[in-house]
Amino acid sequence: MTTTAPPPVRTPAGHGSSRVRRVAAELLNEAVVLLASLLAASIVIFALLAVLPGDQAAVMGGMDATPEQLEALRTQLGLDRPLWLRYLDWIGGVLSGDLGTSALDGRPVAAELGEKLQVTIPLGLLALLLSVVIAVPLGVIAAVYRESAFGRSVAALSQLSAAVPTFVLGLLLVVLVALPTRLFPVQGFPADRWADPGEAMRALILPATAIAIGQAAVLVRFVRSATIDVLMKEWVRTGLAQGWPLRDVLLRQGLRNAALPLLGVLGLEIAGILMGSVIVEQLFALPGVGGMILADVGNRDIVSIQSTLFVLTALVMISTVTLTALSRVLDPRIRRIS
Amino acid sequence: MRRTIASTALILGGLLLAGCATAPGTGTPESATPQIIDIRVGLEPTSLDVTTTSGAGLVQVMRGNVYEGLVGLSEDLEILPALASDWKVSEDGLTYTFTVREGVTFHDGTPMTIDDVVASLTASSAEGSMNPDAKRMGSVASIEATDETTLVITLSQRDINFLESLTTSAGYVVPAASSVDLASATNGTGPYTLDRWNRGSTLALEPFDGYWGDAPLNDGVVFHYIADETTAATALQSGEVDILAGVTAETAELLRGADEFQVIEGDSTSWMTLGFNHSFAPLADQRVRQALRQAIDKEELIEVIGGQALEVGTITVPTDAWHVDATDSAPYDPAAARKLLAEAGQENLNLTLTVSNTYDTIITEFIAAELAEVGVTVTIDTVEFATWLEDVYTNKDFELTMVLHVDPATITYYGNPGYYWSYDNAEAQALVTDARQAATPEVRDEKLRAVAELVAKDAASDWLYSPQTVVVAGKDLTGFPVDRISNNFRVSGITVAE
Repeated sequence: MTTTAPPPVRTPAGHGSSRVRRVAAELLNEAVVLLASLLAASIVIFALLAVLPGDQAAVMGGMDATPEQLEALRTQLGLDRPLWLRYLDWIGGVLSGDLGTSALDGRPVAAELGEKLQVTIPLGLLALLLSVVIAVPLGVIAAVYRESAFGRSVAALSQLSAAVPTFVLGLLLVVLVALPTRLFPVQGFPADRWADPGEAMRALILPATAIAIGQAAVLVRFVRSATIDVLMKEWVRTGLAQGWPLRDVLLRQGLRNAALPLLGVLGLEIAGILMGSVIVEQLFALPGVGGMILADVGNRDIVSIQSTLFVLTALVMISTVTLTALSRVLDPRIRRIS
Repeated sequence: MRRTIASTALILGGLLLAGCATAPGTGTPESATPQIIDIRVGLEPTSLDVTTTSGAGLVQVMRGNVYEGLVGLSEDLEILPALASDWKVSEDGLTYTFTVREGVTFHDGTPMTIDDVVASLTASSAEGSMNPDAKRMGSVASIEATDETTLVITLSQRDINFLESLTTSAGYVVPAASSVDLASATNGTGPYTLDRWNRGSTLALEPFDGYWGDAPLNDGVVFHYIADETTAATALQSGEVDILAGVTAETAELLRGADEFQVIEGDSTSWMTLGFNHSFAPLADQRVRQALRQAIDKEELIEVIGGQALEVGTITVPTDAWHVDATDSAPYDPAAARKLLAEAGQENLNLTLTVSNTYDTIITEFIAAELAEVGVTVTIDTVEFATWLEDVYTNKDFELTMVLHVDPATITYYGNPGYYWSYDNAEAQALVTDARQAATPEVRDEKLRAVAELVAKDAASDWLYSPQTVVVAGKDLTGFPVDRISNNFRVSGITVAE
């Protein structure tokens, strides 16, 4: 993740138009790859769910159903139709913006997903924000004091926290923060979602912190090495020796050096945060997408899982590609190797 | 210089974190009206449509709370008047005459007529009905209204359990015609109506103003679906829930010492059953099945799972009217087990135990270890419940399996050779039929006792234990059910003592 390029040089004006063209071509290329990946993802998701043992009719009928009732249910659910037809039906619906309906309670999957994303997306964004807030100061400290025991222990401790399971962090937060202070609920989320933003926010703070601590550990490493890069530069060392204020150096050079790659790293973090959210949603009984997928898999609500996984995959891919493309467009030093 | 940067960074981070911790919200004080009761229950329904969906999660919410039949069931298993104010049963037990209550209103505001009752019962007992309890209506021959308030149901054969069947989803009365989508809304006659179902989290019921009977003692109930047991316990401690309906032994132990909670043990009618596939050759031999039963130390198993269970020895519990103590039908005796296996020529038996991942693995591990002691090698195959339903329950593709049976009528399944155990015993079938068609409860109980003794002697299955339900509630709560709460959980009597 370290780059030891010289400080950026402004592109001469004459090369402006060719640069625009090149960037446009690159973005188009990214878009094509993205679409192909999404198509592949849709086929993989569908195929994996098709081979999952246990079917929806059995779950709906439960231990009370007669074989005749099960047969009738299968026909009613269209489970007796050929696979390719079911795939085309589903993906055709998704492309026209219809995510299908849950066979269990007849609700549109889109409505269900919208309800759940109102929990998961703010949770993820809050976790992302908190991880940056935690990691940037710690990373800078670990870099500045890298020679001392203090700096080394900051680096070591942050690495150690990566080893603590999110589940345990969440439990610790409940026991050490929620129960004694009563500032935050230990579980659940307001049924009317964001009608009272304060209430909704209170329900998300602890779960987001639990995810953020684990994610921050990764970021600390990155910030630390990016900062060390700056500090080790010949001219920075000279400047510092001549009495430049360290703060200015860090803010000007350090930020410039780290901000763009940081965008790329955050893109990679999104998947980790999503994984973390499945765990904390379970622990804090939050009605988010993670719990929805778990319940849907248990109930074999195939249409709902397919569409949900596809939407999530699309969200992760699109945000990752956007962030990396953004760091490319903004950074003239990054060149695509062709 | 460097120090200031370090401290600035730390303080900044700290401030940002602290800034997120906004002022404490004003939690709802306990004494305030309205009085909403928050209850943690285990399973969330998959759909609200009681006419097509099965499952304990739905029964807990709906039975007697949102939907009612002609008769209801008390916590002590007594038949109560509900939508019928009274009823008569003919001498031969084939004709039931109900006086249907007047002045009953559905939740959508339409008055209930006798036609709605006829339509509901006709639909649930019809050929090809999707009602989860449809099979309980097998003896219904005809349903007709003789006037505005009189309903006559004729059976083709005696059915001593018929009134109880009318308290299940097969007996619920729903409007003959209504625009309400029952999968995501409710439209019954019960004391509560659906307030809001926040899927994946909570389901709230609010009192129904137009209820024909006594109004609930609370101002509403919220069922909380909290999967994690630890989270449920902390939610009780923080006051976010008032009642935990069913907890593990560890949680019960943890909360037993606390002054602010009451920990109450209730009766259950459920059996952790080790099922044998009788069409699998080695298990068709009674000696092998008996050996497996005698190889497992039930007392120690109950200790291993935390002690919150009863030893049974057959498919009855002490609260059943037909209870028999059969714990001595298969006393723990590894030597006897080995001898039986040798007699049957099965000294090197290999068995696969297919089990749903909903149960604690400590139980299956214990069974495998016990059976290994007598020379039986057990391979544990853990699958999801959906897979278990398909492979074991529907396709009967298994050797050993373990499942918690929660239907009080599970004993009658031993009279059904098509059930997943493939237990085909003519004597058991005759006894179950006699019990169903018994003229009096006493005769029924006598026949069922005979079934319980027969299946124990024949080692039709092994019954590992009957788990006891433990309910934990705040000290000031009263009127909450504790017995058999997985299939009957009336909430209208729950209130907070002032």
